[in-house]
Amino acid sequence: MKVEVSERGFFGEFGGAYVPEMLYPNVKELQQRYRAVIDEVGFQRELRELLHDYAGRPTPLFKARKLSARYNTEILLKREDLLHTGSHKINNTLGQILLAKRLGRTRIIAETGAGQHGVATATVCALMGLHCVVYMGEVDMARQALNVARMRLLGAEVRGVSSGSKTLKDATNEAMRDWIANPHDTHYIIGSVVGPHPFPDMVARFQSVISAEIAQQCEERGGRRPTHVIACVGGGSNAMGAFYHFVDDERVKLIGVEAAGCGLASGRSAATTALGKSGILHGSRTLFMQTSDGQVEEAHSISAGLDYPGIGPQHAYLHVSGRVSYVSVTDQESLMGARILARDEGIIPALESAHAIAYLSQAELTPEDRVVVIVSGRGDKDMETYIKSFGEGISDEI
Amino acid sequence: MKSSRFNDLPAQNALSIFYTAGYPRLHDTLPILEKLQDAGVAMVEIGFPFSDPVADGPTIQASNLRAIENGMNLSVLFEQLRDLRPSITIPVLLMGYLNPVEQFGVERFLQEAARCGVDGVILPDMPFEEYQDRYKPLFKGTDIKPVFLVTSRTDEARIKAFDAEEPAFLYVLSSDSVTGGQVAVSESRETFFKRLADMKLRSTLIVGFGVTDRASFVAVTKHTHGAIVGSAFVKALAALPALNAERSEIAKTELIENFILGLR
Repeated sequence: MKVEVSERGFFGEFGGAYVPEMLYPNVKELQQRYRAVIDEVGFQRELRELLHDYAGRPTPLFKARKLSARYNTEILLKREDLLHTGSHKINNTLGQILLAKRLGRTRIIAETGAGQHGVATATVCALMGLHCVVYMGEVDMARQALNVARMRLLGAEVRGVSSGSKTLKDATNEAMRDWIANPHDTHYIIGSVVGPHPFPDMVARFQSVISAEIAQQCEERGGRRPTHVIACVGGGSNAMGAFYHFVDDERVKLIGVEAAGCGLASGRSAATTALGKSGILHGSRTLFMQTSDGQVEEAHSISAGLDYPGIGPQHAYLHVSGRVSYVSVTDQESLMGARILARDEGIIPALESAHAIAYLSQAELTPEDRVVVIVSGRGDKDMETYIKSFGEGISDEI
Repeated sequence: MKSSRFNDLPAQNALSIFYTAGYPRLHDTLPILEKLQDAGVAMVEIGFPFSDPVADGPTIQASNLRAIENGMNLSVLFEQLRDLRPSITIPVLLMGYLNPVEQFGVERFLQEAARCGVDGVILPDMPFEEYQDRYKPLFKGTDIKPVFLVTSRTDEARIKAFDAEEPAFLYVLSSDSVTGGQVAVSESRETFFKRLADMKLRSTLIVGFGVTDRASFVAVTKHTHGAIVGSAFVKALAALPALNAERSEIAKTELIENFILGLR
């Protein structure tokens, strides 16, 4: 199967562009122009050069020997954590900033949860000399203070959001309100495969470089395709990029790992496919956690980047069609995943990525398998949480 | 088919008020409506709450969250509006976001609204194309009319397409902003209103977003048929002190009368 977007922006029943009339001209312009702009040779060349020279692509596909031995299979780590700014987010922000420039926009807005997308946006705005405003929930600003400081150092204005749950969903609302108020000069760089069409498709295309490289790197290692690709899913941008070129190859098992938070039945979770229903949020029809009255529920995850009540429409489609298996791991399990990766391989992952690692202990794998796990970001931003969670035990044996 | 209550709207200076159902208290919905009619308001939009109202500013966001906390939802709202008619004679519309309606069931929502005597529905995040493809037959199955939003950037062909759908009215946005902003009536704004008036549309033109007082009401209705005051009224309701029931009713009546007088 394929994940192809319809003219109206749908993937099966999911997607579309449910925006108020105030945003219609902006969204329509993007819908009409994004493919032509990003397929253009000059754009492709400029993006390729920036991804290579500035962001540090291609990222390594590293054979994790101790992790492989631990789970008795072959585990390859896709090192998006080694990219400039520390996560895969820059694949998308570089693409969108080039698009914004070609559309003549001079002001950039973004939402951020963990701060990784905010930092990646602030970075490309500094590089291109565009004014940057980042919306961030006040709860997230407190738990990701380091990234707030990074954004400010990069010259971005960080605006705290105090409405609702004061996290990613509220920051997204506020960014959309800003775009409504500033439709002429502003481009909204959405950070995940969410939002109205064409954002989910566009962001997936910019992130698809991850799976393109995985396919090529596997080719270079004797041609054996991965049997499994495992990635964490908040909104789902690194996962969508990692799955993109494998979706039509049914031999490759695709696994999205959501945040179960304190547990699926705890009422404090972010596992959308397990707990969500179809509805309309942030401009698209997708799955998200909501009450029977259709009010959006607050998500919980120890990881600010997974703390979002929905998933992008492609993931909703891939879930309902059964092409991708969505699973979840708890806060505690993700912490163990982080420690295992640090001790076994000398890599401290972001808490988001630690969810993908943590799933390995539950996965049914054989020695013949070739398992690619996406390390979507690095763990510097999460050190405070790690210190708090492990306390004195931070140096204990696993 | 019975004649539409929208036909009775005054041709000029129609004053419409928006407020949030279940706010400030759960059972304020109908009493506020009655007092608004008594005060001479021509039309009312009742907002049903949503947790994530992206087209709304802080005042209406806060009223939405409070209403949800108070226990407001569509079932409760329809229960409250069951005896709307015949005592309420002015047009009444429901306004809110698509998701609560989808979860309730679009068809069921329209049928319940029609049963209560609601005349129109405003769903700002319902795309016009989706209305045409998906929801129009459901609207046509009732007497409920849709409303479409028009901004200064909506092109003429699209406005004509809205007009052809015979909406309750066209909701003309006074500014590029979410609700609760300040309207700065500028020359370009006036040109926009005049351009709409000159299109000789069949639809009534009602201006909203940022209309807060007499001056802005007068300014935006020069070339249009009327205007909606929303956030300013919701903000005034927020100032209602917590009184015992009887005194609270008196205070509410005074507040609403004075607020409407201030706009006239």
